Amino acid sequence: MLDVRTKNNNMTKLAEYREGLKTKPQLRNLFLELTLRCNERCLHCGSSCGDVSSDELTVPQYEKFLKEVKEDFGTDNKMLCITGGEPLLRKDFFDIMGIANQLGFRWGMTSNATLIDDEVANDLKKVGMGTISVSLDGLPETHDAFRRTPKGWERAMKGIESLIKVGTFKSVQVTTVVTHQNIGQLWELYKILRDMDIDSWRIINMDPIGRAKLHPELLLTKEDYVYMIEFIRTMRIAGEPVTYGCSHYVGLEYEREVRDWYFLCTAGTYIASIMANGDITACLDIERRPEFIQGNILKDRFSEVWNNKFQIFRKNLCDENEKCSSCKEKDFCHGGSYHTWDFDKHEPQVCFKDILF
Amino acid sequence: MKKNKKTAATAAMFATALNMALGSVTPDTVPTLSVKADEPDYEPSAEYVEEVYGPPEFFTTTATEDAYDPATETETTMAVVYGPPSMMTTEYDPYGNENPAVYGPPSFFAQGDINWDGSTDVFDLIRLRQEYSDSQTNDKYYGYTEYDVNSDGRLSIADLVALNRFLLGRSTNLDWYYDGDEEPMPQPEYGAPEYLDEDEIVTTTMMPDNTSEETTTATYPVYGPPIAFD
Ligand SMILES: C[S@@+](CC[C@H](N)C(=O)[O-])C[C@H]1O[C@@H](n2cnc3c(N)ncnc32)[C@H](O)[C@@H]1O
Ligand code: SF4
Ligand code: SF4
Repeated sequence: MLDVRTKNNNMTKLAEYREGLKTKPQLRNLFLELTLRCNERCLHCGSSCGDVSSDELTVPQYEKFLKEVKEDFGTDNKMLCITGGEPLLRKDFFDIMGIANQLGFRWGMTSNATLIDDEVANDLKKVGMGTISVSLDGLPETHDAFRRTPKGWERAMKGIESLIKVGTFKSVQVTTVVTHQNIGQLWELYKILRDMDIDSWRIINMDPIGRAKLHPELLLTKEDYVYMIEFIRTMRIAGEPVTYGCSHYVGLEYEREVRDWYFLCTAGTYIASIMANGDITACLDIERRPEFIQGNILKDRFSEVWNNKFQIFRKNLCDENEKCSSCKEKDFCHGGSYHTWDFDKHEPQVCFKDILF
Repeated sequence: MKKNKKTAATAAMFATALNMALGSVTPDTVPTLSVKADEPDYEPSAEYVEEVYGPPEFFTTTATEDAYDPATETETTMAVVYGPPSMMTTEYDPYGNENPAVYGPPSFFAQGDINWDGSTDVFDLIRLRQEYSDSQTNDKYYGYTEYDVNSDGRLSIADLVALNRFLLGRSTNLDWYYDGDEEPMPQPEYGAPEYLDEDEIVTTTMMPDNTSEETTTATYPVYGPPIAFD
């Protein structure tokens, strides 16, 4: 619908820019996985979280790490992205985030919001939380079944209400993971969200990562993908703050129309992540293979790892595979999202060629 | 959901594209939809860190702020007061209608229900867009068929716009483009338009909500991840 030539130009510039990023990465988003424990046990959890044991860093360990990051990179233009598991399960959550706040880091988090009430929402404000993204994965029954948590929906909704009541956060976002099971509920869900004072609605498809690999029946079909992308575009045409996530090249027709930017996976160029046990990697959604662990903050200085390692993330995946390297879209797609690359077969697990373009 | 400058700018951008399409529809011209996706001096490195959780956005969308045109603003306002009816289910029996109307579209399909699945939804838009692009190179007769959403006797971009507006709740009447004073075009023979190849009709485009009754038919793709490669 929008001018394809302009998109083409912009994406060409972006591809050049990306080349530069590979040699001159800029740390911008630092993900902290505070725990792998979770009070929900989602069928699709990419990080296989739930009632599991989790090596966790202590408050002083986080303090030391964050001070080093500040010393080496400063806090300008940096955003801490707090995630898990369910971050609020940590008893010392507010201690850690209080320190980050005092050091001057901006931060936001993803949460299932089941543990948020008025008091917690106020405390989150006190420790400087800027943004939050709350998971709602379908209408109540579907959400609860999918997250295997009775009353999960009800509690998440209460959590969102408490957050909205506090009212001073920069953004309260809802994230919906679309599956073959809940895709028919998007319009109904929209009618509910439309009347809520949330700032945006992020719609992403379930990707075949972590536990989701055990549930191929929940993955979207080709037709589902088209429906989802059209749904997002239709919402945006209507002026609703709906967006697709960072993942997957969606083709020239839909790029820029389903999100405010063009596809670019910045794992390892903008993004670094610290796993619950202190291991350093690019993006938490990437398969957890030993070769992707670039170091551990308990023994390595993060800035050294970021500056000298990470090569494995700063390359073109599409070069590894004949189909991708002969694909006309590869200069914009580069082989797609890092987190859905199949590192055994050297091919993308999710590719929208012949589906969306 | 909150509306802000950014959502308004996005809606305005789309509205401009749709308006341009509408403005230039004449029987003999096929307009191209071409609204610039962003400001010309796009600079990828100038973006801010994404405020909302999730990897970063590449630049802020101030896209249409400078060149804000009052005409697009009107459209945007309409978009913002966007009403609920996004999906409409119409019950009908394809073979039950023994008395088709003399004028107007044959009534064995509901208007806007391009794929004949009993509802008017985004799938119909997708199907219509495909058919519209196919129509550029074939010489099928489209007048007063299900593809002729606005009943003006032909398939044009205006039908896409009409259906889109309807789905967005901006219009409640798919005929909104039809000028009742005009003499209707000659009707095709009663019965299903003959060019429709039964095999091509996608009968289950509605998303099944997991009950076995609804997850039927051979046209539905097999479950499983998209096939990256064959
Ligand atoms: C791992 S969770 C952690 C935060 C919190 N416990 C929650 O449920 O929101 C972060 C986000 O990733 C999403 N997610 C998990 N597995 C996914 C998958 N296989 N595909 C797409 N998104 C997934 C979740 O739905 C959630 O929105
Ligand atoms: S690896 Fe996936 S989740 Fe991470 S930045 Fe890339 S596309 Fe986004
Ligand atoms: S074949 Fe590879 S490069 Fe081409 S669109 Fe698919 S994932 Fe991207």
